[in-house]
Amino acid sequence: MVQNGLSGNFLQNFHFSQEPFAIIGGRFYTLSRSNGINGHYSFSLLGKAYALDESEEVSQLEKNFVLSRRTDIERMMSQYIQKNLVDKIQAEKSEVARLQNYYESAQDASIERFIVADVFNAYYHEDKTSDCTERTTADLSLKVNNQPSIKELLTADNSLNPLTQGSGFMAIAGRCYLLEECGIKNEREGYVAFGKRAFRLQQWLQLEELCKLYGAKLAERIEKKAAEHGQRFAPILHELSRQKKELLEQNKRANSDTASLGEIAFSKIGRNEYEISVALPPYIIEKKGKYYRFEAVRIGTAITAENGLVRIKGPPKILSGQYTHPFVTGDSVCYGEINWASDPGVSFNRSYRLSERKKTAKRIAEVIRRGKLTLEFGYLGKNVLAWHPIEDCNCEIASSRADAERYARSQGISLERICKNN
Amino acid sequence: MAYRDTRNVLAFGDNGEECQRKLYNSRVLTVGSDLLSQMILGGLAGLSVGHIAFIDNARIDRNDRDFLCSHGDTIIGQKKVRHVEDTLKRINQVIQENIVGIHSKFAEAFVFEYKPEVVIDATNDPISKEKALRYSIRYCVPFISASSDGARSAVAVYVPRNQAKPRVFSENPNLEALLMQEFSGSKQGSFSSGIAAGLVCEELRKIKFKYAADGRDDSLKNNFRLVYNMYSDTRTGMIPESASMPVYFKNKKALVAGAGGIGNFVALNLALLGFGVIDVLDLDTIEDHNLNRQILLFEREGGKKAEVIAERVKAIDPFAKSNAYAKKVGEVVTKDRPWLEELYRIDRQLWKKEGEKRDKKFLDFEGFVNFFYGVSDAEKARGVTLLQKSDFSSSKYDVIFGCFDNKYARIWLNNFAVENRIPYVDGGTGPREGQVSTYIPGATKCVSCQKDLMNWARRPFSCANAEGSVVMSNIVIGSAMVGEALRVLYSIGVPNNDSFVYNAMSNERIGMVRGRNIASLHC
Repeated sequence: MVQNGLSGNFLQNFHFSQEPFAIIGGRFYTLSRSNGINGHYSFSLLGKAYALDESEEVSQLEKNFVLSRRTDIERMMSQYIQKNLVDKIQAEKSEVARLQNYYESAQDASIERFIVADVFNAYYHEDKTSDCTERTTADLSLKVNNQPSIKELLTADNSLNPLTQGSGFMAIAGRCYLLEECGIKNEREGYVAFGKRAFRLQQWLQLEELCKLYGAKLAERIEKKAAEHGQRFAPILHELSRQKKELLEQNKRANSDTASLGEIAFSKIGRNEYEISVALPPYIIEKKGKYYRFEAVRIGTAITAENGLVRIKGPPKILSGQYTHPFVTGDSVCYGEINWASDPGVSFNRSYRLSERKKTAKRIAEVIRRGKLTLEFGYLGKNVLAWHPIEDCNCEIASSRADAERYARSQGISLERICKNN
Repeated sequence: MAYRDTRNVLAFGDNGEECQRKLYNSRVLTVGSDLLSQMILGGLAGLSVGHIAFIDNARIDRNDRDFLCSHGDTIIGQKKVRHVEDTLKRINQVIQENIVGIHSKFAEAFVFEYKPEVVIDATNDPISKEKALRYSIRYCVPFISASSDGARSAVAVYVPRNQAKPRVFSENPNLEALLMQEFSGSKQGSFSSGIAAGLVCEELRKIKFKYAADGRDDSLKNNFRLVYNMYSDTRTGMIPESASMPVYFKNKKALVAGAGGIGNFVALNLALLGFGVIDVLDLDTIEDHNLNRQILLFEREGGKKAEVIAERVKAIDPFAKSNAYAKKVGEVVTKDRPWLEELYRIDRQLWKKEGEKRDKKFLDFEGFVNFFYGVSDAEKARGVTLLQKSDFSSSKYDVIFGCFDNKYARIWLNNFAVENRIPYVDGGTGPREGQVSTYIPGATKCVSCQKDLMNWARRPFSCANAEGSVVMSNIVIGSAMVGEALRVLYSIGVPNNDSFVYNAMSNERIGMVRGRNIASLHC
């Protein structure tokens, strides 16, 4: 709580000076010691009337107080933000940096990390060379106006109103009395005349107690404004938390024998041997105006890694058992006239350096991608006879686009997965 | 050190910077928001007192003419303190974050919040003064009490020796003088308030620092009261009372020649009194270092002083007419030749005495005349024109105020007044003193004769040799000039060659001295 540094507000000063006052309608009135009424407002007791002299609004006094304690309050707000946001951000930053260091330090030595970071990345970011765990470009430097300003506190609000709930009160000799409207002016008990209205005095709090409550409310208001100001750090915190989560997952994947990221996955299948695969959800092939449904399938290829060299053992195969498809026989996929060596530039007989991580990862990813595309889109425009005519697959579902789309919707197949073959 | 305060620093002497720093670090609270308080607050802002708070619960009244509530969107019924606060912040932007107005009658709790080092009560309310005095005694804070009515004002100071309980007050009858019961219920006047405001600012300065440690610059004694009384022959003392103070000035026409430190306060007081015509003559443009004392010129640096004053006069009194003459004084004609030759002869002797080498053009008579009473090529290039005596021929001024800072313009203006038989009130100030001389056609000698202007030592002309100037002497002398003018216009007292003087280092501060009556070429 910040009120420790905010002593000496106007209520406390009245407590020390023992001067009587009233607050009515959010405005201060000081009680004139002289007998008599010189305005519309007065306090009467035992036949004597004392004028209530108009003073400032409470909100203005609070503004003045805030302005006069500008340095203290701004420091308190800064401390609040520092403690609740900036320190947290710094801790998150350190944690992200630690995870990143951990990840990077082990990266060179681990084939698992190579697959998770580089192959997975190359698969999803075909044309990019950047890391899929790339940090955000958002400004995480905390230079976004770290210094809160008291201007945010200089409003028409005041912290006393919630305590009195809008009622007026009067303080005499260290005691506060709530003002309750009444019809009868009781001279013996005393009353406040406010224009034509009369208010009787109902015992409430000790002024000292009210001072403490007010101090706490004021502190609460300052903290609230500090927290509001701190909201500008929320995107940074959010981004750091996202990065942290991502790095944790990445490290987890890289430290296990098996991991997946979306449709791509890997598993260790032998000493220095790994299988990298993609899962294809169900899809529909359009061929000569007819539509055929094919089931989900997993295809993949194996790689070996030894002595800093990686070898791709062959083109992708079907990994999920018996699969009906015009290009598939057993677990093999027919790739027609693809010349792997020239395009995409992969030789299954040679080894690639693990040190050339990006290039090697790109080759593996491209091999996997070609397998996926061949099943979904055929030979990419090349007119080559399939091993089996598609009509023999017994999977025709529609003979028009509209019917095919209707079918896709009913089966939960994305319309993007209606693949046109020619 | 803010550039606007450089003239303060010069005026404060060898330790000027340290003195100004003391003012920057001062915390002063003023009670009241009427004319006297506004004048004091204007002075405090001019001095760059670092923390200024003021307390009063008055609201804008349609019948009031206000100094600090006239610049901006004033609405009848609004809190005065807010307007005063806004204008003060405009007058001195260096300290604007530390200027606070509190809408309330004096309440210890509100005052304590600002922890003032000096409390000034500028109301005419003895109850308020009593509260302020109790505060002063309780917290051992110096207290300055000031009050004014239409033609009189008074200032008293109480410096508690040590902290005491409030009950001491009732046991010390001498403190009653600080309550100024005589002013209770009176409406505060303009020039009388101005004089008191200048004296109050000077007392504040004395509390913060002194020019001399030998007692000459001490604060007023605790049981002594300074009184200005326009009706008195000595201008001091409460008797006679100003029962017949005139209130209607709309038919009066005045020329304020010189819109510097003195001219500001002359124009301000005339506007507050309600003069019908207040013309302003000055060639100068406003510079930052003018703002420490020329408090009507705020926020208009680079503008012509005469034009800005005329504008501000109309803001204070929308019914006043005010023409600005941004021209150089002034045209000379053949019949001026005798006094010009005499002036040339005296100046040459003065220069020789000082052992200075002057430019060749000063060595011949024509060059001398053209320099001081003509327009040089450089001045022509800047658009400077020469004021013709005929410019004023149709104005028929009732009084002319001479507020120039050089003897050449003064002599010209004095001669113009003598030729046209117009009362002429001349004011001059230094950092710690000032004086007012009055010429009444047919009744007194002219000011040149009274002051022997011809033989005045030459004033420096370059900024490198600039003299210090502070708001206190300017506000006292500017206000006293208006008081002297009213004495002439309404035939108060017996005309004589005496001059009003102000000396911050004397015990009396203000009073009258006998003028000289030398034989000259002018009258």
